[in-house]
Amino acid sequence: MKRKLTLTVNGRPAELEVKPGSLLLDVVQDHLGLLGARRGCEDGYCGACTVLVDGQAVRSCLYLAGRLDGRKLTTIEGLASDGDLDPLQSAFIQHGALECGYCIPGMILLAKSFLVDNPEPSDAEIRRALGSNLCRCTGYVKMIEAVKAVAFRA
Amino acid sequence: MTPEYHDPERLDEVLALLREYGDDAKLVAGGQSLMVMLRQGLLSPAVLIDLHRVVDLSGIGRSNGEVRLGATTTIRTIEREPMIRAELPVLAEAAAAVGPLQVRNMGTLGGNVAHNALGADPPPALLALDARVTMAGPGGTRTLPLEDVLTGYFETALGPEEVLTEVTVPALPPGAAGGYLKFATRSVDMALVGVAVVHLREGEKVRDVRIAIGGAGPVPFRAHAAEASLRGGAWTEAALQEAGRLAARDAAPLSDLHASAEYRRWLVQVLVPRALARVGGAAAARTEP
Repeated sequence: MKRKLTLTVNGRPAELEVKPGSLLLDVVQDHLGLLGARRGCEDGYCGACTVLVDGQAVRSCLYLAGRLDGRKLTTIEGLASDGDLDPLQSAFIQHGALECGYCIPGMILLAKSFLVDNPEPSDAEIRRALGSNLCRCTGYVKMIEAVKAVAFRA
Repeated sequence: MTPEYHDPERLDEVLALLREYGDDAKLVAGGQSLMVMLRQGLLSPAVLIDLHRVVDLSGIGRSNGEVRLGATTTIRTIEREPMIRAELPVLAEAAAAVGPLQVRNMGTLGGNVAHNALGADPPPALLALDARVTMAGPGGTRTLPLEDVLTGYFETALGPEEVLTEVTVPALPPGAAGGYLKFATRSVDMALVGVAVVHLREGEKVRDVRIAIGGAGPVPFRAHAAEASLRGGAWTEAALQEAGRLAARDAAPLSDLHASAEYRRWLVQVLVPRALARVGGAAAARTEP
């Protein structure tokens, strides 16, 4: 049975009618048409489907749609405001911190959530945090530099 | 097929749903293990009963000299709670050691205990803290020591119509130190072996020490022989090494694709002295003026 959910999607109010026992990843891709949350392993291992719910990084393949009611959902599509890229997006570009790009939405949203609680992280903390998500181009070093540049921007 | 979904606000409604659906239903706390099992086809419940709106099950409190941890308190909340970090550092460190940030954001303490996965980080810390687990069911509530709840490989004493509601931990005496040391292939993996230590010293003598080990047997266990060998004795390198040997002797590790039993046993022997030395240093530092 479907349920009506009232939520905020990338800053805009939204209403959805979905099966509450379905996966957030399916809702984001199929109902909202936002493809930045990637279908990677769909198994809770790779982190490519990471989105923010109330500012916290979650794996949308392990998140039940019914929980979304009344919450704020942010995907990579909603990170820029009025055409201005988020500092993390700019830093990833400036540092060349992407190769094929498939993991990047998840990486940036993970970093976004991580920096809220750890505004001045150590290198080891950044490495541990980004290690949560798989990059199979193995481009972690530049990503770590990009996150560091955002954290320590004066 | 998409499971039917319920998310009641009260515990009695949860219990009524469990009674109604029986084996067709699964409880969801944070879902970070359950959803993986659904995705992999290991489980296919017709009904999911989500606990996220049952506010009584969440939060950290204190009463009668005990710290009370609601079942749906997230791992991330425990990791960051200043009182836990200050008074029960072994638990804060074990929470911080749990896999990815996304999983700590959503995953819960009760879910972690109820899943009883091999290599889970919080259970050894809770064992070293003499934690007790409260469950609510059709016949009322009952409370058991954690070691009686963790009955076997991915098995617990929880009945099919029971809900794990709370974990309670007795406050530690002043001056107690603790820590958690984990070895895993990647930092976000389950522990191949995880060692939790709680430790109380009087000068150079060991007044009390508790050592609990995860990943090195079907369930986490207390290394009683190692603890006994240290109690009342001096805190020497030789004593710590002997404790490691005794703990490894008592381990009953399994082989799986992540590590052989032999390798896990060796990790116990290496990590126990290392965890003790690290915590011993912390205890000494804390008693300095």
